[in-house]
Amino acid sequence: MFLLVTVMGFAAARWRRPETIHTLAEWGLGGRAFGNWVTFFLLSGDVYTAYTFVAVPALVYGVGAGGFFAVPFMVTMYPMLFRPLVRFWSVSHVHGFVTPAEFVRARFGSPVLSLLIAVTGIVATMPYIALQLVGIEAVFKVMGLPGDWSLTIAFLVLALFTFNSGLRAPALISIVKDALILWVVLAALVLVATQGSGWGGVFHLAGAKFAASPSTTDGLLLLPTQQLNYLTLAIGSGAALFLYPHMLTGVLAARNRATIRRNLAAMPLYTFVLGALALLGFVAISAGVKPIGKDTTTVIPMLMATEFPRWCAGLGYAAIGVGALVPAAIMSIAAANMFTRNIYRPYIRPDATEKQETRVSKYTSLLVKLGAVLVILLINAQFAIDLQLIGGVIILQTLPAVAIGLYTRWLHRGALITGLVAGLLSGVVMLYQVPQIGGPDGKTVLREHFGGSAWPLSHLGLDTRATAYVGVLALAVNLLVAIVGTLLLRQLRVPYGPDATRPHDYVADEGDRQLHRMTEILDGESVHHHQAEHQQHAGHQPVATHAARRPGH
Amino acid sequence: MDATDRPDARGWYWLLWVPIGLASLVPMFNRLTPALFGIPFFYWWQMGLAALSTLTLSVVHLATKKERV
Repeated sequence: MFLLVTVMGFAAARWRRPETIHTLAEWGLGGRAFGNWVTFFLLSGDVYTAYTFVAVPALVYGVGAGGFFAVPFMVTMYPMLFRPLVRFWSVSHVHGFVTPAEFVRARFGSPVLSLLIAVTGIVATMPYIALQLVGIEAVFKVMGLPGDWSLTIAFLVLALFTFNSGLRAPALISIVKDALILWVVLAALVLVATQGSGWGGVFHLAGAKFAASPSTTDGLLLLPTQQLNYLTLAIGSGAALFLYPHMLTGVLAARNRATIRRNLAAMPLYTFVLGALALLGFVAISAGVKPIGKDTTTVIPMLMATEFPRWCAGLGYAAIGVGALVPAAIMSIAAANMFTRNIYRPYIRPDATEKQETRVSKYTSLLVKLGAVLVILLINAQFAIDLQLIGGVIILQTLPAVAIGLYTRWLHRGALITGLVAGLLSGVVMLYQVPQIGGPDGKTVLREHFGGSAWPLSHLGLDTRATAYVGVLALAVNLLVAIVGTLLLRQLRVPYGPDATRPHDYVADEGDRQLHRMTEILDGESVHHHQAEHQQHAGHQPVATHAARRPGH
Repeated sequence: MDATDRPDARGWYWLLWVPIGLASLVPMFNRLTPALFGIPFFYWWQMGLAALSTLTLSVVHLATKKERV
């Protein structure tokens, strides 16, 4: 199985091979030419990761209803993103942006803000990659393989194919992943249907377990005090996911606006699959599955090992393994693109050619993955999980600049920077204040700090036991600072940065005649780039991609 | 506003708030009954919202295909 995936990874390098793979838009965005199906697999690989498949059922196994937040998260996300993502695609298409930080730089004319966004994006993405490896590790544990070695091999496979094929590799492999996941879900549904008492029995047993446990935070339903946290976590996670660089990479690789719109419409169907997988957490309870040690991420692999026929369990393991490699590859590409476009080129080597850019991205993506493996092997998985918790909160702080920036540039660059910093600081402080409570009596404080993302509102002096998601609260601080700051800076008549985008850039589509103004400003593109463009226009060829139109370097 | 905007079609975008709004009513669906195939209301209702989300997005996409907003 693994072999097949490896072969596909390398084949991807030849698939739809462009004349020049040595441009960043080719390597890092698949030439911006993915159609409906490829985009679907790429986005589903991005959103529904192995860690999701392992962690969500594990959470449901542990706390019940609270773990199901992943479903409303994926329900509300697509309608929220439907319009902003399409606008983001258009403006990036016109200006040749590869990362959100490039957009921010052009929109607000602020290199500092852009740098902050890039660093935030990279810092938030790194632990996400590490988490994918946690997903694979859970499978290896259940299979009884030596974790360290297996993880190293998985890492090598991942590194090699992204290095060569760029974004094309994960897009192709994602097809295999989706087929495997679908198979696992169907197998599990058959399992429940044929197992005596069906879903009624499953929930009966799960309810009995939660009733018997001393913990006050679990159950088949939410406590009244948990409801606000459930909602803010769902909506906050949805908004955060859009801001992750890897998600935007998937969007930018699409061919045109309609491709994105169709895909966002189809994507919630995948949420069914996720919901069914989440319910497997209850199935695991009713089947009496016990995780290995205290590592609840092993619940789903254990369920497969004990309840599925051997060959079927094997396919399940493969699903998780491949499901981890796909997003990890996309994430490392996205982080590498961020580094190249927003740190390397502006600050280290302004005159870098397309070929150099691509080479830097390739090696950075390698480094990023190596970093992720080292964190897991040398420190521990818990560290990665803690960092990921912080990552979700901090990436949400880029929303005012990236998402609101798509609609208006009323917010002042100085205020946006202050707001971002305020949001980042308050987010981390609030996370620090959340203890982890558990233990045999359900009341012991296991860890003083970074124990979760549900912040007690009683800290505000409110007489309540309700909690809310830290990310959303920090975002509120961020926005407040940004708005007040903007009003202040306007009073003081501090000038706004120049805006390199025009209103109709946000509605541009494939085939439109557009000038790549930003490219010219940033790259100092030579005159013969212009000539090539004019020739194409004269020939009435549809405007393909920014990269494909460049004369070969 | 963009020259390509036609106000009459932009109204369709309000539909997008329907699944978001329904998913926000947590206290309303935080209940066990009525169950469907033995699955408590809380769970099947939210999975049903996923289907509604797809339906809404498809309708909006088709209705606003020619618009660029």
